[in-house]
Amino acid sequence: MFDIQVKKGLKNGDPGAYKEVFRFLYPRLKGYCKLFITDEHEVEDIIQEGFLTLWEKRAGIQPANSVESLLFVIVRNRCLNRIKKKKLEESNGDLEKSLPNEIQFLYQIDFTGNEDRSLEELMIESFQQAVEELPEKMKFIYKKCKIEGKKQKEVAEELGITVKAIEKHISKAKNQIRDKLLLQYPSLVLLITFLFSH
Amino acid sequence: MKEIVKKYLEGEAGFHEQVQLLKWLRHPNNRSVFQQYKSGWKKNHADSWFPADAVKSWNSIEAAIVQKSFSKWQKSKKIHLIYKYAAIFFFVLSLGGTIRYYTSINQPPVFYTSVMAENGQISKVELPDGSLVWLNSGSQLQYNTEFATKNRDILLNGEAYFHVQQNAKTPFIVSCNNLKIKVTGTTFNVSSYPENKTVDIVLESGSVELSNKKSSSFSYTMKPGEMAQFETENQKLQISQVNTTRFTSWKDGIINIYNQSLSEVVKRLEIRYNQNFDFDEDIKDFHYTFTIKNEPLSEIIQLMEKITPVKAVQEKDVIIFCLDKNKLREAD
Repeated sequence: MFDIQVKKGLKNGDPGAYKEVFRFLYPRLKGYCKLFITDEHEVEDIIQEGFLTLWEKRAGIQPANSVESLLFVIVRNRCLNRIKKKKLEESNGDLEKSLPNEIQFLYQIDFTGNEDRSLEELMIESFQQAVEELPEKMKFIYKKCKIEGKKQKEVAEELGITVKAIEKHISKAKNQIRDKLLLQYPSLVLLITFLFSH
Repeated sequence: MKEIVKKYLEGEAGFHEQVQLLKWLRHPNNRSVFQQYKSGWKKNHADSWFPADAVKSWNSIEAAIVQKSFSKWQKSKKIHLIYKYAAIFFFVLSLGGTIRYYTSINQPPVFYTSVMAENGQISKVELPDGSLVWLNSGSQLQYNTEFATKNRDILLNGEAYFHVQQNAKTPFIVSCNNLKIKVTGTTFNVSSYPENKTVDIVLESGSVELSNKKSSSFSYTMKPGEMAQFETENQKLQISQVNTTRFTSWKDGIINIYNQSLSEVVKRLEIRYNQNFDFDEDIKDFHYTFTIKNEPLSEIIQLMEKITPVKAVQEKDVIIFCLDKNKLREAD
């Protein structure tokens, strides 16, 4: 959608080039964010931060690649992080499956050219990954109680420890998952893989 | 479908339209049509088009970009490393340079001309290239003998209003502190009094490019009506929209004081009237708004005494403002 001249401008940090990209992408990026985030201010923040991230990482911009999909990935990851944070605040560390918002695939096709995993799936994946990275015993207890839905008493008997100890493990696990999820800043990693894979 | 694509691109498509568009796009054959619609839509939008609800958002992005660029100038140890290598590089070069120097020694040496405006005066100077400069009181500018032939470089200390002659070949460059202001032809005002913490540039017409002497990696191009404030200490730049006449009218002998504190007003009076002032601490936050054209100082002081409960007394060659308690009582 943008010519080489604009992309070179982006790479050189020229505000005019950023303005050009901004005016044509803003309405759609906003439309995409609004699928997941209701607060207008938060949407504005995400888009603004997205453009600033692009600016900060401008050395990695390759004029041969699509700026649209690059910005889309940056903005998508910011949405993902906001949602994670919100989910964690709401549900005490459990991330339930929620139905993916169908319209997001429209934006995926438009910006990246194909349908990829939904934001919801990405969120669950990163949550599962955080669970997998827990220490063995903690992971076992957390999975039994929180994912398989077993009673704390049962698990305590199975392991031969007190219910209090189980509770302690679970709250520790929750904290670790929370830290992992919030610390995880996928935008950079994805940005790099993106630049190499296209 | 074209209509829906347009609505979608402009963020106007509703839920059902977006679902419809998605269904249509899931047929791979339609995607190239979609691309065509998209580039057609982009072409139809003039250079000036901007999504209506996005102006505020863009302004804050632009401000943040400018801010980040300029704050980068000062930091980074990497840069010091580069300087080290650069120093070695230039040392090697200079060996060659000395040889060149001996062959070019016959050329005439470069001299500097400097122009000053005393306190209480405004000078108007015509530079060798035909550009006009109004120098505000207590300001100085310098240029060398090669001005207008080989360069158009100017060093400024204080405040000046420039009306620069068009000449794209030799850019007109004003330096103050570490800031470089590059222009080809335009009118703008620069204020860089050493006692102020910022260099303020106000662009009336045309365009100027700001860059930092210490780093060539960034430049900012100002648009008419903008004011750029460069903080000399931490090398940050801020851009804002201003009414330019407020900043340039001094050249016609007019001083606009707009909601400025006594301490700021006094500074401007000192420069304009070449008169030393002092004031009591407790009244320094009184604020004033007025315009001075060619009025004598006595009239200005009377005006200030009317606006606020202050009294001016002369001690030797200094005029001191202090709180007028009688007036305070009347007001009660």
